[in-house]
Amino acid sequence: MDSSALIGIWIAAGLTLFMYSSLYKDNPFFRFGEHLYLGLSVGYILIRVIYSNFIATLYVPLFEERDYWLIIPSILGISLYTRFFSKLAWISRITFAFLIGFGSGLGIPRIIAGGVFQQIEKIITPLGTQLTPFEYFSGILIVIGVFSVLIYFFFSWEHKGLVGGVSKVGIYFVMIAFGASFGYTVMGRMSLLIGRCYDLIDYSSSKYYYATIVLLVVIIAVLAVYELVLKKKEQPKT
Amino acid sequence: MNNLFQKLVNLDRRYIYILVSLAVIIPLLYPLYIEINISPAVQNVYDTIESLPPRSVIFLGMDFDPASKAELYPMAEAILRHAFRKNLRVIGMTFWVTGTGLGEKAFADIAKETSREYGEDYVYLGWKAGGTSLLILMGEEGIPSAFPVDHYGKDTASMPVLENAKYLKNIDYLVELAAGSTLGSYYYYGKLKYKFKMGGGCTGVMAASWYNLMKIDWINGFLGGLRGAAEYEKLIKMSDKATKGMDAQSVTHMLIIMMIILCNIAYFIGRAKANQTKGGNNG
Repeated sequence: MDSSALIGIWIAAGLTLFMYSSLYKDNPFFRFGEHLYLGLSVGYILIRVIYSNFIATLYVPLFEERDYWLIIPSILGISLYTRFFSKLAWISRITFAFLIGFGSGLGIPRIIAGGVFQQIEKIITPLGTQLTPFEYFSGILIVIGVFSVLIYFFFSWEHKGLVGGVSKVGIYFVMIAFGASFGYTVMGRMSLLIGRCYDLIDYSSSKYYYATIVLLVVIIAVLAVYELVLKKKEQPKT
Repeated sequence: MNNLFQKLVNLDRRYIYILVSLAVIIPLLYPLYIEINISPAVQNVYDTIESLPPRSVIFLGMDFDPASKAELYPMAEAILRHAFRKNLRVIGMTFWVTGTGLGEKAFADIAKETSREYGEDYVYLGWKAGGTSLLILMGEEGIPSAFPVDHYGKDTASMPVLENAKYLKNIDYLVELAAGSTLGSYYYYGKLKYKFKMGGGCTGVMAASWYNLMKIDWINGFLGGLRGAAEYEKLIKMSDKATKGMDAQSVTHMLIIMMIILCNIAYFIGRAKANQTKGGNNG
């Protein structure tokens, strides 16, 4: 294994342990890891944007290939930054108007057709088609669920009597949906933990010079010393 | 006994962390090989790729980052393995700038493993700003117009992998691995107009809502979280990280369920006892 990959693995193992050290309590290791992560993310995005976007799609075509049409979107783009100057901020509205107009014109018809209408259609139509008893039951359940949840979120009528009863059924459907989502969320979070543990176990092998074990011992030792120093400082002088 | 329940209710959360860590680490070190059942959603994605004739084109959207790597990266690897074994062509891209390197690594590793050639069998377009505009451009003007150069700066127009597959309408199957809302973009600005088949993979957090998307035919199937990835690994008969992770997942879930039951029992016993004491005091 080449040394650069090995250094990368040691850094990855160390930073993972730094982040998990917060489970014990807030400490300098965690804070260092957190700030480094944020800084690196922003730095990485900035560099990617400059090279993949600014240089590849603006600088090269405009200045080397002489595609002068790009001057128009460039001016529109730059004008967004006039938001930082109160007297010139109005210029940015031209770009915003263009962006919102373009985005809405493109998005609204598609989202209504593909999202709203299609969903309504798929809820209604199955009941009129040839279905197995289970599919029929499932279809009816979906219709009841959608209807009762819509009633639950309809606030123009007071929720009592029949409306109250239906909205109560809606609450149960919402609770079941939240339960399913929460179950999957727990699974997702555990998967992330498993992913990191998997790497940490991998990095504790002799192939990587026991990176995880060495770093874990060092971190625990430093944390213990840090705690002792902190406790001594906190003790009132007699 | 009551004392034990009291202690359970007031348990320091750090003990729970230790228990969960052990529940994850021990099964990873000593796998239990718990049986994994295949769900229809995952089976559909597999069947669609399996049914494609050789040299068909799959478009792989890799919209995830290191934070969701644990769940979506094994999916990317499994799908790429399946596609390359079937001698399909694969086009990859990402809308997530922070995931660019992950996509690149997945393609490079699996292509090496299956002896696929860059430009001939696959291309990684990488990341480019523009969001949905890129999809519109790929649909209307073609993929080489949206990406004149790929992730490595190579000219895309002349690549054999894109032969007869220059537009979104030429795609035989699009698989979107999403840690966010990009599936909607692919649907609204791609499938709705160009009518290609679409499947996907998502994080566990999003899986419950994707059943609805399957019901309304946005997608024909999907891989939900680490479990979805493990199911796919089983289908392609190549156990990897996701399959190994499922043992840890199952043990952790059992632990969580047990703790929820125990702590609820402890809570109700504690409450009943408090009510009794209160009643006794009143009497």
